[in-house]
Amino acid sequence: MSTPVIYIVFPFVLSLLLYFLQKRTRLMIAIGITASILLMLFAFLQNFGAVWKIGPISIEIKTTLAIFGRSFALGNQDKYFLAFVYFFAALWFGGTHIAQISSRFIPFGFAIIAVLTAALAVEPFLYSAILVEIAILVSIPLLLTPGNPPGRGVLRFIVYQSLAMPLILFGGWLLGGIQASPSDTARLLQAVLFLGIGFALWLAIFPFQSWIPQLTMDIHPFVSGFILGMFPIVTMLIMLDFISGLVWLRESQYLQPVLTLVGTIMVVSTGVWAAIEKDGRRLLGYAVLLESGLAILAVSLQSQISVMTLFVSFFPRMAALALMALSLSIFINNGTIPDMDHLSGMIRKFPFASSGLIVSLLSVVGFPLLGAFPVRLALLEQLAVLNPIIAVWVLLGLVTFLYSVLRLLMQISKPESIGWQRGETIGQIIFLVIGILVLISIGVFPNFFSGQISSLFLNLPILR
Amino acid sequence: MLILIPIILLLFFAGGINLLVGRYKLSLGSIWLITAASVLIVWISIIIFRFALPGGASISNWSPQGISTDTLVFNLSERTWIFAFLLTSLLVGVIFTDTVRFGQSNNLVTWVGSMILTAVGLLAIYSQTFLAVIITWTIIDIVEFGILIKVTDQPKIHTAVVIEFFTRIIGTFLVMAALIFSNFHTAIVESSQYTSGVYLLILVGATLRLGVFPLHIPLTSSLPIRRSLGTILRFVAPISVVAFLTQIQPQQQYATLTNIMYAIALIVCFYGAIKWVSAKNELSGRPFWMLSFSGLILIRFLLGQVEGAIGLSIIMVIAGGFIFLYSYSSKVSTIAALFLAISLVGLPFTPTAPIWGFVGNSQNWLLFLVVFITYNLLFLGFIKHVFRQRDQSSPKESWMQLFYTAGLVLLSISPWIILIWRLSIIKLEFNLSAPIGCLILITIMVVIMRRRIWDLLIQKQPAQRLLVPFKLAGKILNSIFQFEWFFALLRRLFDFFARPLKFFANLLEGDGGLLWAFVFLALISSVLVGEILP
Repeated sequence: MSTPVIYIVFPFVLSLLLYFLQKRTRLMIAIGITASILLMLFAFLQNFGAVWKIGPISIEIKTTLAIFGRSFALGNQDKYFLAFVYFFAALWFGGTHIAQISSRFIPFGFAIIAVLTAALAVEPFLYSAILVEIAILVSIPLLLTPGNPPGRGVLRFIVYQSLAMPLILFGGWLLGGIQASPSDTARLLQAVLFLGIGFALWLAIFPFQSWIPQLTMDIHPFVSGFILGMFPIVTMLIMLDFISGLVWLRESQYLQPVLTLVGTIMVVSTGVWAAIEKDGRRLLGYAVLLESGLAILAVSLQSQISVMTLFVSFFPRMAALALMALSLSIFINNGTIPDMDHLSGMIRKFPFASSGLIVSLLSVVGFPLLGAFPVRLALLEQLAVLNPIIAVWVLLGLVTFLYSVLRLLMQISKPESIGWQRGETIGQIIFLVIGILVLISIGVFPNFFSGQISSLFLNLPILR
Repeated sequence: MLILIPIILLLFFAGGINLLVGRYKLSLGSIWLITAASVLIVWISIIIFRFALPGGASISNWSPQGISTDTLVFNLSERTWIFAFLLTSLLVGVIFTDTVRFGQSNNLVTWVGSMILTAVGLLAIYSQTFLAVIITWTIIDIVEFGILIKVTDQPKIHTAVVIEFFTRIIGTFLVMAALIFSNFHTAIVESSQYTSGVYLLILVGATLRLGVFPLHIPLTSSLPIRRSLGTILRFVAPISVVAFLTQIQPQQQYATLTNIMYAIALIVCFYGAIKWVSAKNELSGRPFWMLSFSGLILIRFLLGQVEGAIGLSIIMVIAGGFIFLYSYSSKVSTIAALFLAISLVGLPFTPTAPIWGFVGNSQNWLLFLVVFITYNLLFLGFIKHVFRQRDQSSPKESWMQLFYTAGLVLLSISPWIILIWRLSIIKLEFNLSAPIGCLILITIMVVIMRRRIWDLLIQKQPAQRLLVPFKLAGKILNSIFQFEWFFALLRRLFDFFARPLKFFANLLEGDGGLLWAFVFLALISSVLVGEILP
């Protein structure tokens, strides 16, 4: 038994099995949640590369698997990612029924996670591009509504993400060719340029970000939350592995200024665009872009603490995204377009969904008391030490994003009707309240579970 | 940890009272009795703690996985204890005086809401690091915003509520910026030296959070909670800010910055005092009372006279609390009001003696004059509103009147309880002429007002002409402090930038978006190659 079999082959096979159980929704949801929790617990509790003892039976858990001359490796350094991904998979699968989306979300979700895990595990790195492309292709059925033509956002998503594949393959091939003579700086620069544009397309870095708000307008918010939660994080981790693996790149004097500039442009431009935005679904897209910009800034700092900050930030990021996606789903399922005009006064009709939407957006900004506050504060403090001007710009970007949230709050809390109603179902309220409480508790006591999960943060990528 | 007992007690009692009401059908009088006993216990516990201030609570490894060194410290110092005591005294005053307001609103919501707000306010006063301050201020804002959104039914008031929330948050973000750029993560008191930028961030952040800008229609107008819960709502945020400022070492080396702030604060306090004295009643004048005292406190802080700022805070909370809760007049309560006015005017060996502290060392007589007149106007307004005719048509039972008066008397003696521990400081602040002058002037002005001499004088043609420039200045200042010009400017700026930004977004999202993206990439790359890459 090996970790790639457990985390790549098993979920993929399970997704095929679940595909044929689509009519038995409840069973499928139960299997999906149980499998995700078991996989999360296994990553959390089991030491990879050691022996797994179940009573008298002992199974050796290897960390590599070779297929067609390519190897897939999932070691202890990947435990955080695996536990994190399957924790949120369980949450997302649990919310399928609540958000009233097609039950095929679960098999496709499993397949996407399995392929993305393979993309992270494959060696040589070059093949990640192909696997990410497969994951994009697998996600297409989730993005389409039967009987309707694909929207512009969906097409853009496929085009931009697919364009990255040849660029990364070509850049990787160039890089492989010059391993023997690293002094060939001209070819080195060409390789880095191709790879850089490839990663920029993957991560929707400015100016390739336009597809994200378009995609969130075209598809169900619950699906867009899942897709935009998974893909940018996996591609970010692939980029981290890539930078970490090349000593000359991580020691290059140009890496830090380039990443800092790119990250700052992303944060500021996203904040400014969000400030003029009127649709809640597009704000979800901008929230993802803001997170990506801040993640790039954390990478740009190239320190152990900044990498830790990045990894810790994934948890509130995903929690906020899940809450935002669920809140928007509730509005859409009740026939309310989640834009400024239609959301006016909604706090009195859908108090929990409205609060969920506002709290999740505030958390993304780094509002005190909420999930992302400790990581935003830490990142800004680290940036202020390195470059105070950049910290000021980032703070301005966050404040402009905050302005957009407060505009939404102004509309949503308008006293348009007399008296208060409750438009959500009990199940939805439970999920929303849990989401809000999770964000508040990790915002107020971010270190509460630190001791229990600290083992997951060992062996993080080294950037300097 | 013991220091947290009053907060825990308040939350416990608030929850317990709610639970009791839900389970048993208690009369309003019984609920009030339980509430009054609860807040009295908390008030006494705060006094007991002053005899030996217990150790605080701190969380040193607050950040996950050690990504930053920020710590949370909650403790009471000798100075911040005063604010904690003032806030609990105000709560006792609110609950006790509410006996004459039975049935005017949902009393249970008012009492429980007041207890929760006081608990949150105490936590803010306890905060001794920037991080703790930021977190507790945000809790205050959210609780306050939640309460107001729940009870607001008028769009105009709703807009004011959101704008105030926005202003406060900007204030909190400025203090957050101060934390980010100051690199002081462990305690505020340790940080005696700030850069001018950080100091400016702290001052502007604190000013925005004082809750006086922008001046707006009173948030609680036409709401039944206006007098009781409304008073706590209006006071919690400013008290927490003043408690924060008293922990900051005033930085007098930044003369330019100090002078600018100084001038603004002077105008603000004078303008607020005039509006307060001319207000129709104490509730409509409440924002101006707060505005004027905020200005005065800021002046004292900028002058480096923290003791003076504390003295002014005592007047702001105690005299303010007294007059805002004074809804039913009686002989005893009027005597209590006069006693309060005399005891807070700053006579030697009285609790607020340090408010005249700068007279001896101030070289600027204009400053002294403006501040002196401001004090006079504020006290004059206080007395004017005490003697205002009130609607006393609904008779109150004797026990209601008794507890109402007891609440006001308790508020009046609170500064004297503070004096027990501040006698050594108060002894040093000996100035007889200024407070005596103030008293004489107030007496003359009260006599003029009571005898209708003022009304007769003001109706004369020359006096009317003389008042024209003052009225004009008042109008200008009123429109400035309402900040509507600022929001209009923001809207204009927003519209101005929104169009090109939308155009740019449409360009990237349009049919040629991908090509445009590559064009922009080429442009950015050319900048990068020139500026960063060789």
